[in-house]
Amino acid sequence: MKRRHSREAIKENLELYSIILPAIIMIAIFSYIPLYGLLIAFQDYAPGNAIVSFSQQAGIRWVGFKHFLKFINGPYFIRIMRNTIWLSLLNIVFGFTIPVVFSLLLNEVKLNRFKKFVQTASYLPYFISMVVVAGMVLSFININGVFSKLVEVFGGTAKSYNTDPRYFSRIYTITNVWKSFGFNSILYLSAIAAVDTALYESAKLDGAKRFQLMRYITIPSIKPTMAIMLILSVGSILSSNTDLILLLYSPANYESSDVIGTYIYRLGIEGGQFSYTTAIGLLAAVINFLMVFVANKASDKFTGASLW
Amino acid sequence: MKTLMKRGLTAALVTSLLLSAAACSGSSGSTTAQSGDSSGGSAASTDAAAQTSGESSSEGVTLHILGPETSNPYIHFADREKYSTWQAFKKLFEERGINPEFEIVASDQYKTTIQTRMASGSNLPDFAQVSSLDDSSIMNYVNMGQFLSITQLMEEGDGTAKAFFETGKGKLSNTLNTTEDGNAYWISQIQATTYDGKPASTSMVVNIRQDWLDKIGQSLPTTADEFYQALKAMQDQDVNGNGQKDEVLAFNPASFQNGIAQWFGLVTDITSFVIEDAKVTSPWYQDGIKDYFKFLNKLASENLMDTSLIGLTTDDQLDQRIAENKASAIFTYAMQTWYEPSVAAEGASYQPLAPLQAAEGITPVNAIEPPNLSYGKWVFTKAVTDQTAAAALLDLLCSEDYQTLTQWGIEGETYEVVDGENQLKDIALNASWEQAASEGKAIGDALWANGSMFPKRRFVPMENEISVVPENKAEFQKEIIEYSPTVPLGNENYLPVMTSEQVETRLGIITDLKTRSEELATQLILGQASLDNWDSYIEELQALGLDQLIEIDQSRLDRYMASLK
Amino acid sequence: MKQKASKRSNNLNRNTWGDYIIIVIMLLVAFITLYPMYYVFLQSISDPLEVAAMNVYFYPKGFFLKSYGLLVKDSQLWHSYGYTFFYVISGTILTLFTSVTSAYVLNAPKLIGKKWLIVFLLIPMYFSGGLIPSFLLITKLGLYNTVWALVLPSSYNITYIILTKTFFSSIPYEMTESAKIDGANHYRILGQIYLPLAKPILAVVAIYTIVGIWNSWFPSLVYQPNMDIQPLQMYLRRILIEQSVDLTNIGSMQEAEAMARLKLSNSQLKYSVIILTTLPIIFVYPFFQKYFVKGVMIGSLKG
Repeated sequence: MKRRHSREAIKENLELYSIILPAIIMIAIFSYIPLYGLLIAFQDYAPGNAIVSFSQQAGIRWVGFKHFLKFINGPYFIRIMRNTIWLSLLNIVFGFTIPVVFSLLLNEVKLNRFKKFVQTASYLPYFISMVVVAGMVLSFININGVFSKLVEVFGGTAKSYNTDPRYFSRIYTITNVWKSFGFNSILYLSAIAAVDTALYESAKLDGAKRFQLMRYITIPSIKPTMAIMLILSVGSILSSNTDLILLLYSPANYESSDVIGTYIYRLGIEGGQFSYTTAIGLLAAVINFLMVFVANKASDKFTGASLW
Repeated sequence: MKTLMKRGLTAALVTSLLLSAAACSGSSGSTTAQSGDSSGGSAASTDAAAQTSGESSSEGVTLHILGPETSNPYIHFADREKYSTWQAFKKLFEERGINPEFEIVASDQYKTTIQTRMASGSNLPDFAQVSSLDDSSIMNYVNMGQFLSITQLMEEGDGTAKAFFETGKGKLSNTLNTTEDGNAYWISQIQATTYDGKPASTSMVVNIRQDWLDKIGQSLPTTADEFYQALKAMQDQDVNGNGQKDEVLAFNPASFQNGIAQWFGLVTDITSFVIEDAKVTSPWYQDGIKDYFKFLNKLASENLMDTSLIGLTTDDQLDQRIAENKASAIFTYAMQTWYEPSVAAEGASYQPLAPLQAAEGITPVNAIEPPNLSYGKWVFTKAVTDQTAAAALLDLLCSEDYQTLTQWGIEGETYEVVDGENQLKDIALNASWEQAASEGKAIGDALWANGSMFPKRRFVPMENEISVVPENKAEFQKEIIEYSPTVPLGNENYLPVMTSEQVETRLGIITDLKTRSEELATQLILGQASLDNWDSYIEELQALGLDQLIEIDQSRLDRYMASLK
Repeated sequence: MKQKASKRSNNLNRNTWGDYIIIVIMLLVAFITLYPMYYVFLQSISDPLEVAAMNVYFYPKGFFLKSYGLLVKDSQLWHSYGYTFFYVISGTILTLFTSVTSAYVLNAPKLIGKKWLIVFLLIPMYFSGGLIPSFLLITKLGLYNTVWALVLPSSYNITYIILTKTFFSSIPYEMTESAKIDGANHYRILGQIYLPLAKPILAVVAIYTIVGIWNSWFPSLVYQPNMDIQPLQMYLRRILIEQSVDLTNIGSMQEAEAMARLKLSNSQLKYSVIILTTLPIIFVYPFFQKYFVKGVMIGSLKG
């Protein structure tokens, strides 16, 4: 009896694996084969050298954790980590919640045309190039910019906001969220759309109010999506929107704006530090990867939703 | 949706992508990371050549030449057949038995293409522009024998290149390019400027709005204090008439190459030198440094300077201030003529200022573009199968004919001889690109040397340039030529190639040191840091390797000075 | 009974003060997100001098279409448009395929080694080997300088696999079970039960993939030196990059001048480029939008 069952299971699994096989092959080729490149984090590599070789003549200089230690003991390590994590946390909090709230509110709009219009408008900023966005933001917060004018109207004194390190995290977070919340909310809107309308109908028959519908039907239905998105964003705790920061930051606010990505960029200007930058990237990736596991565990425990 | 954001929102910063962490967190699937390597450079798959366009008609030894397209909007190397300069150039190839086969890559893409091809050792050309490779990679390729020695190659030619590099116009450039083993492995663009027959150079200085000075009824400032008074008066009297106090000095003082630092005698880079002294120092060690910070701090605290421009990675904001009619002073070339047309006001004009006296006992210095420029790198790679052909190409690029075609083009078409002197016709000037393209009359400089396929050769009397700029700028330029002491814009033109060891030492230091230096300078200017803690700042910079860097540059400069003797 | 129900839902459909608050909030959202695009549009059609001086805020000043003319006239633009369509369509079809198939399999309760499969998917989300190993791979596969260098690596996206899987997990597995009892195999269950239900998530994955491929230029930069097969973004990026070359990196005054002239003559292009790239996407959007602004009826499919 047991043997027959397991043979059936094997047959079923063969079927299942044949379905997923094309994806596995593509991922194995294009994502896994190049992974050996990470080894240069443990070498003194220069372009043209071999990374993997069994011959002694290849001249690979293995240096162990030298580059990792250099980064960790470097003068900017603490500052860079602090800024990266802080900006990411802000981004997780606002970048995650605002699309959810927006989707829920938009779902309550009954005028279908208006709903579509707002939704389309909300994702337009996603398409404006970073350079133009940064240019707009910088003119906006300049000492003679629109924002300073507003502050003056309300009795404050105008100042140059991008030379003061205290304001950087706000400027960055607002710009970032503004640019992407509409685009990110598409996912939640689709999750809401997938809720069985029969559920609403029967709840309405039972006399449920709008807020109750939202709380007892809509939110639970999109909870798995929310949980996954939260897990994924926790997994990017050590990555930031480097392109935007590069355009907005200056030595005047390095104190609060310099992150891993911008540090690597500055190393890149001089060039040649392939092993060092790979080591920094690898360190960040390992931490991100571990964070996903932690977040997943937590999510599994508290919400029941998890990646596996 | 971090992934999506990353994919979509990427700004136009290739380098950031190239070097943004090998293990790029959160960017699934896409390989937007940095370098890695070849398994021993054995991957010579040749089936994937790009736009290879052979000159089918000519005979001779084929040389594969890889280079970027020009960045000119009208004149493209790909359209070369319609230009008579190219036809003349092609003849030179034929005469020397070379059949060039070009692979042209778009200029914005070239850096990536050459980096990946060199690092993976695949699809290597015979001759290529490698200007965008970093020093460390270049030295590694040299040590691995990827490049042919120019020094040996010129022995195999007909002597043109040898004469050019050993005794001729290329001598200085060759000295700068010679590595510790006594060989040069690349050739460079060469530009030499003379005035009155002697080496001369143009300067970058602070320029002030002449029309605004007239408005406030002041004459040209002659000291830093008068300059300050002028800026203040311009703002107080609202010279741009928009009702706001927004007339500002628009420049970026994160680096010391900014004009005002030179008033205080400071050199232009974190390590540099006064040309007359030939002694490498750092602005942080110079006498005028504290007064410099006090002065800029005064400008910043009174909002006479736009502090939001400090350290920005693009020039867009700066250009915008100028265009908005808000920049009372800027830092630019003395003979600059391209900003005025962009200003949204009638009669805007910038007047260059000679270095102003700013602190007691300190002689202001003048930042000059070195009279002899040598920059960029072109190499022959180990893919060359016929050394004679390579030597022939080298000779060709060192010949008088090449120089004439590049700099002047065709007589009667792009230049004419007046009183025994060559003179470019209007069609060969920057302003006439569109017309030049439609008539097929471009000088070689625009067609193949504008950062493109082949190195530039440019030997000009400055009299030519002076004759085409407005009179105030011309007069200024003539006077400033005599000014001494001078500091170089771009000290690489005085510093020969580093040894591999020096390259590595410098790389380990430079990024952190520069970051700290820029940050400290900014904080001192903004008043976020106090001059009282000066000694601790200097200790910090020394701990980051400032003295080592000075030592490296001094040894290079010494080599250069020795070679002049 | 029926009458009563419709009366109640009429009650609910009547606008309350809550509705007005929401509408006001949404109007505000629409304004702050719409204005910048409107601003970009204004810049793209106004007099370039006014644009450079930052004088245009609410209505166009002057009327100037040369920057569009410059772009539209160029045959290269239309050529690369064609290639972009090819990359978008092929990449989207392949991504939808890999997302749906993987997600379906990962949701099957009887799958052996599921945890390992997930880890297999997660690793590439965080680690990548860098440019040169990927470059060597593409070269050795013979894809360098071909269209496939863009198509094949973009045939999957692990984030989308996970999103699709999450969506599928809300579909009750009893439906699969009962279908199996009826003798259906997994291929049929996937095609006939899951696919029709998956429309909202397919629409999302499609729109994200389309936008992603539409905006992407980096793989082309690395793998396609041949301009003839490059997508639109490479073409547009080229126009923008060439006018924003860093002046401080330039060797001599002549080059500085050439660059400055180039920059001036093109200062408006960056705005026109945004409009030209965004328009097609805006037109594509409503086609997908209908799948996720309206709800679905799972119950209706049960029977």
